[in-house]
Amino acid sequence: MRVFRRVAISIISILTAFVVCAILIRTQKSSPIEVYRALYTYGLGSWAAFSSTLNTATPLIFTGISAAIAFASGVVNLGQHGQLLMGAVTTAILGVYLNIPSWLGIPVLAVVGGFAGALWAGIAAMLKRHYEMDEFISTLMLNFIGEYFTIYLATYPFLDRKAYVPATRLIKRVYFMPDFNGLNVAFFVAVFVLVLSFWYMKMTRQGYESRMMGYNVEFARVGGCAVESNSTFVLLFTGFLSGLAGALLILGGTQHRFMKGIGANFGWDGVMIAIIANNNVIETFFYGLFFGILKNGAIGMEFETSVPSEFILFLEAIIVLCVVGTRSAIEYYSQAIRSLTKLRKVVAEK
Amino acid sequence: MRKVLLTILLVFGVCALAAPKKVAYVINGSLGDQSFYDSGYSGIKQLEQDFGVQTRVIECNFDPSLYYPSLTTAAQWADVIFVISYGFEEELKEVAMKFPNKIWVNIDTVVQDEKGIISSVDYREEEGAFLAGAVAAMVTTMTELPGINPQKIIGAVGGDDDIVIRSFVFGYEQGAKYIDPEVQIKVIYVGTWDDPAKGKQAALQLYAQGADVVFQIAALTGFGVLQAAQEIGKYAIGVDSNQNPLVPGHVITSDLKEVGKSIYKIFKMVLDGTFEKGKIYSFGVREGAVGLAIDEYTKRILPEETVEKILQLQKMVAEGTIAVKSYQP
Repeated sequence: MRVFRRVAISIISILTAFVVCAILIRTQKSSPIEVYRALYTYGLGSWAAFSSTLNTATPLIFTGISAAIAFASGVVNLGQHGQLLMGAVTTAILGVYLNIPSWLGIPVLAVVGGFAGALWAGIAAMLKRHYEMDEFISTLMLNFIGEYFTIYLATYPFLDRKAYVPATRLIKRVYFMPDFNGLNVAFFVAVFVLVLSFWYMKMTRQGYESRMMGYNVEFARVGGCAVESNSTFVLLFTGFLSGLAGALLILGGTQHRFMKGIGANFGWDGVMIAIIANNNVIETFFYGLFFGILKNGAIGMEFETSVPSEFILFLEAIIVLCVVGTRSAIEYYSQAIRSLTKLRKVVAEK
Repeated sequence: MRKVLLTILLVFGVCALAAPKKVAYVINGSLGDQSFYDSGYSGIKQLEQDFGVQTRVIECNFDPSLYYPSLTTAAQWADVIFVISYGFEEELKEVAMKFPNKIWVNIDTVVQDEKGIISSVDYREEEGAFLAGAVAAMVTTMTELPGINPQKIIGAVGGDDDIVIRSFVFGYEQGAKYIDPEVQIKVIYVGTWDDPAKGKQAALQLYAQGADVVFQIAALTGFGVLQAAQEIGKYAIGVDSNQNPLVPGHVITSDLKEVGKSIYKIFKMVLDGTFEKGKIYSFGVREGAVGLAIDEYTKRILPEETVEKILQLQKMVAEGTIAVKSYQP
């Protein structure tokens, strides 16, 4: 029943958002049907479009799950962006110099990238553990340091002299992740991470404790949860996931090198997706896919119709507002109705 | 009879196939910089007017995750694809391999694939920058102009510390030293292409260090350089498009890189069949693709004889009397 309600809320809000945007497209003298058809054709319409959408969604899923787990545990890790970049740059640099066979190299590079992300989050974890520094501010600030540090690495020490933009050299060809007919293996890693995260949050004791911390930290502490070590672990684990996103961007993406701007907006989009999904891991996965469709379809939409791709950012924002708004509204009113009926019952009994 | 008809049909069909109808312009950045990307866009618009072709633009807004899907989308639709491929040379090669029958023209950098599908338009930006450097050196020694201090220092603001910008700086330095070997050159690389505020900050720093003329090589970021020149009454040199009228009285001249004209030229070559796939077209001052914009705004700032001297220099570079060295990474 709860699952049903959640799905219904999502679908209703997304439809509402589409209707609101249709009105806006109309005022701009374009045809909403054409715009949405282009979105569909280029986002889902063919296998090429679909596989490209899944590839686009892959990093979003990682950063989204990372944010979802953190927020659900009451740990405000906003450092996905920096962690992703640290993971990416580590993998990109090692991918140039490492000399091991392909079957071993790809997983090793991916995991090392993940650990680089975990290490970056670990700085925040250490500051929290020893100096009670709020991870909200430390992860946020580490984003800037990570961003400029990685750009420095790509512009000076590890610069590819032949590249036209600040970028590291191409990683060895043996470390390119294979794809199946256009669908990169990285997506299956994302699915695996989804299962792992779901298992962790729902099936393990530590996951349960984390969720309790998310509801109420003080209550969890009194109830005997190891709040300190749990939140350290959550920070490290979510940092690992973001770092893994960066590593797979290098190994499985299309660039195969670290360059300025490679992190795009994955970190913040991940945070946004987690918020819409109410920090639920499974929902995050589906919203990641959905935003992948939008992101991928946007290019085609801009191409077919004269509507600029910035419109998608607008649509995303409206979807976020609709989903969050509808959910709060439904919760508010259903609670009001429930208490009202209960009150009636009590009054009638007397 | 039927045979004749069939032949006519066939010939007609081949012609229809041969004449490209759809042109795409894929750029790594975004339009609205009044400089580099806009110059190319004006060329694309010109094609639409003169040849009645359909055109589409895809802006990647410096987001690497959009490069690959943008290229694929463009390739599926267009016959001729003009690409400004900073940062996605590898993807360009990969997508061109998948669509080898399309005409791929890469602009401003050199991308070569094994099968010779992609052609490149490579500018000899050192030549234009040489002239810009010469102008800057002349102006910084003309203390009779308002706002010029006796120190012989000139500056440049670059977008990224990359090969093309270093080529610009290399040419700029040569030009300045050609006029006066004592001139000092200070360069700041800002690290963005679309942030005028940072460009302005960098220019103000250079002016504070004694520079009188700052050459902007940073697309939209560089617009801030022009603003800074106006704000404190110094001088700037524009880039890529003619930026003299943007801030009248403070932009001495602009080092043009006629991306639009080159697109037009290449497209005409495609139409009359002289275009070659896989070739590197090197455009410089001689081809009229690179050079200085000298107009009434320049003449309002500089005396007649200096303008003459500049035009003389430009002629010498075009003829090859002055050999401008090219940058070797």
